[in-house]
Amino acid sequence: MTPALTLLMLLTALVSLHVGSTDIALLDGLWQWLHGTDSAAAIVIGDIRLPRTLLALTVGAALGMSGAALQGLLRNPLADPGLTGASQGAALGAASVFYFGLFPAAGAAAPALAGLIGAGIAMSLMLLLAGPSRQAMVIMAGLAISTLTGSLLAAVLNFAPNPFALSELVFWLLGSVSERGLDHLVILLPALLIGGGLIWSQRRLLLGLSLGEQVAQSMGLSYTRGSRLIILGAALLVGASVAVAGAIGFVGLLVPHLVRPLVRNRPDRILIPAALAGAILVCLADIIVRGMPPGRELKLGVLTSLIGAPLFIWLVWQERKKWL
Amino acid sequence: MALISIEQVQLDSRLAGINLTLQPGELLGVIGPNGAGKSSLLECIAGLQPYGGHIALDGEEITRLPGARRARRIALLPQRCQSAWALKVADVIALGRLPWGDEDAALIQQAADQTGVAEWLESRVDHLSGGEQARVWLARVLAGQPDIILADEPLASLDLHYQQRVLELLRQHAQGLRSVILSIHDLNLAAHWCDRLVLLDAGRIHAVGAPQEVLTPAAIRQVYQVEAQVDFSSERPLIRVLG
Repeated sequence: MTPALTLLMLLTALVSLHVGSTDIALLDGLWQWLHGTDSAAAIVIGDIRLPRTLLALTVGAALGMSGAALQGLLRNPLADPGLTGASQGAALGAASVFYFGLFPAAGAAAPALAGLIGAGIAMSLMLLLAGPSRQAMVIMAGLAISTLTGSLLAAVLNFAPNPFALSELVFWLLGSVSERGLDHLVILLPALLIGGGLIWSQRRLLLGLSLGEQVAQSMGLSYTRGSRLIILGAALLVGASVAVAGAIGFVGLLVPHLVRPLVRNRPDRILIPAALAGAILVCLADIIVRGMPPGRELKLGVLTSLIGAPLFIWLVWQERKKWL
Repeated sequence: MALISIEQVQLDSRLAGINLTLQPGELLGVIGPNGAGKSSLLECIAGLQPYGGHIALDGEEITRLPGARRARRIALLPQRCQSAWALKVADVIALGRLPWGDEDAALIQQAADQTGVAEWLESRVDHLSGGEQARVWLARVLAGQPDIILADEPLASLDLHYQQRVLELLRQHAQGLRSVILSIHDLNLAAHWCDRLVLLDAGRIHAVGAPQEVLTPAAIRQVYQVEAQVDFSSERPLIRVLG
């Protein structure tokens, strides 16, 4: 399954590099960019399309994997990566940059950096509140911290210094991978590797948890330590992707549902396919965004939510049928 | 030498001063009213509860054993089990191999054959009936080839046929160097199948020994507050509640 998804992801990436408002020979542009030639083709491919494609892929992979991990940990197919409080924390951190002008030295990557710090703080507060947690406490604590950071974000919006700052902030929050450079990848890629690594190291726990905490512990797996590592990894993934690209809704929630049947519903085998499928979906959505008629750009996060929400309603309907 | 020796184990208000041994080849029954501490005792031995006192496996304190090493030797079959995901039966049984870090197909097949679930290996576990699922959970435990199985009321929700089958499998497991601790409510079955019984009452051991020594009318009256007639003269012991 993984090789097929990898191939599909590479194909999507190629299409994404190929599609755009100007018609440019992909290989020539890439070749010229690699050799540092200062041509239009090199700039379009290397400085615009390549970062955009890579960011779409990494953001999608991070969201897909964190969703699969959290659903496995909480044993709840409706668990969303936003549950950890990390998304809201990242949004608040990034918004503070627009408001207070934090980290001027970081340049365009400042919102991402502040977002990562915001996600980290929100996560730590959540873990502190949840204590040596039962799964229900993680959800409650995540909700509480999300509400807190959400209200602080509203306050930041409320007191925005001027209409420009406000609209910049709101558009940023809608989620997009455009107008970002390879320096954003420097933040996102390590987060993807470390967060993904933490989750991957606990895949046996995710499998054991299928039959409940008690069974997992009786099989010699450490629930307390392992669950913290998974939450930390997921927060890193979600925090970094929100910090870089704003809120890209529903990917983390829906992608695991799409790939679960392909891996016999096993929560340990779903991680990599979920990351690949997330990458493919976000990249595809971004291709659609770019294919829209020129004018006001439809933000990527808005598109994924528009597609995701009906799918989510359908999922809830399916779950409901199980109980009737 | 005892496989497991338990000394002065206590667990907040649930268990107090428990002293007990488990011998190789033994099927040890844990009986007692609801809330007597049966599940708590099994959870302590499985390493799930932070107990006071000592529980040693072959002379080694179980809390000092690395989790995987403990889990390879002691497996817990919990009272209630449910899979969060619609896993295939084969994958549920493979879970038993987690402490070993493999998914040995031959052992999974063997466990499925033993429990009679081989025909459903590719079926979803949530599509099976309660009794069929109970056998799958047991197959999961057997696939890990543990030395000790801790079975917490495995007969609840099973019909007479499956009760018999599960007891036969546990009896078969408790041979040679392997043992089983079984928590059970049915005193007739406990008396018939177990080598020794431990009668718990409010977190303390009321009596321990051969079924005949433990299941006396006086002990049943004191612990369960019912009058009972006890007959060990026939092949199958009979405990009958009076009035």
